[in-house]
Amino acid sequence: MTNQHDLKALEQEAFSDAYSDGIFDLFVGISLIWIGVAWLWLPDLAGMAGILPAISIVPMIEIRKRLVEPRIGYVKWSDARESQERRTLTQMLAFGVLILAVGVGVFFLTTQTDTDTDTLATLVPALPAWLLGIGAALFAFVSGVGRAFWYAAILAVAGGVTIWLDQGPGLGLFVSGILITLIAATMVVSFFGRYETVEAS
Amino acid sequence: MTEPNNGIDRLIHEPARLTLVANLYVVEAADFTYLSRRTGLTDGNISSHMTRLEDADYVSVAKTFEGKRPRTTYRLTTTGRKAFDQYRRHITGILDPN
Repeated sequence: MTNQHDLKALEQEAFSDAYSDGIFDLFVGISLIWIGVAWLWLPDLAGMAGILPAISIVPMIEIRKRLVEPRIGYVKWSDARESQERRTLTQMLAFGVLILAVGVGVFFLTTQTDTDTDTLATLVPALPAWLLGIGAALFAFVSGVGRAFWYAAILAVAGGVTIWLDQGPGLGLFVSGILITLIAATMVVSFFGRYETVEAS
Repeated sequence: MTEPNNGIDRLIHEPARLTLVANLYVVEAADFTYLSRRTGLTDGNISSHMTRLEDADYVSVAKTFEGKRPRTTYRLTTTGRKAFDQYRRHITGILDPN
């Protein structure tokens, strides 16, 4: 515990542990289900479906804090960790803009040009799941939260299944959302079973 | 450095305090509940060790309220961080002199 490597591992383990409650995962899973449902059954709302999860992030963070902090305690991370978190958020935002640009570009290629883009066209329905999967993998890599790699894998497979079944993008997101929600619900139940509220801290 | 013995800071060298100091070293600040969960130490143990660390000016303590809940937050002082850095160098020098 005294050398730099051990201390870094200690900090990383503490950070991952602080997010082991599963509430953020549950939010991601439910958001995917909602977007999938909108895409599958509420086509008029599909374009706007992402707005609801986006505006729910801030209240979700506050609710999570009120539920989790009394159980696992309060920690203020180091300046280095907080800078890294800010960098991660910036990178994720940049990635979001990039996937939007790629999505629009591919959509344009497959609908507005006369070139033979059949192959590309078959990939389009999988793009939302795949791009979100790449985002999840990047998040896992940068943050060290390993289970995000599993979410990336779920999204990647869901994208593949969407193509295989010749379905629209909603199906992959809906199924991924259900799987992630089930994993998250298990984590949440386990977390609240392990930790009770500590009245005085 | 408090209670030096052959260059080893015995205040930090005690296993429970070493665990507490290491856990505080890797964060900016943490409360009692967090430290209790991370270290597995009892409340009484944490209190007594923190009092000793506070007396040596290795740790600063802030008592606040989060809503209606009292919160005791601990933070390693600059003195405490320097002492832990020196302790690490010393132990590393003993265990791995090359």
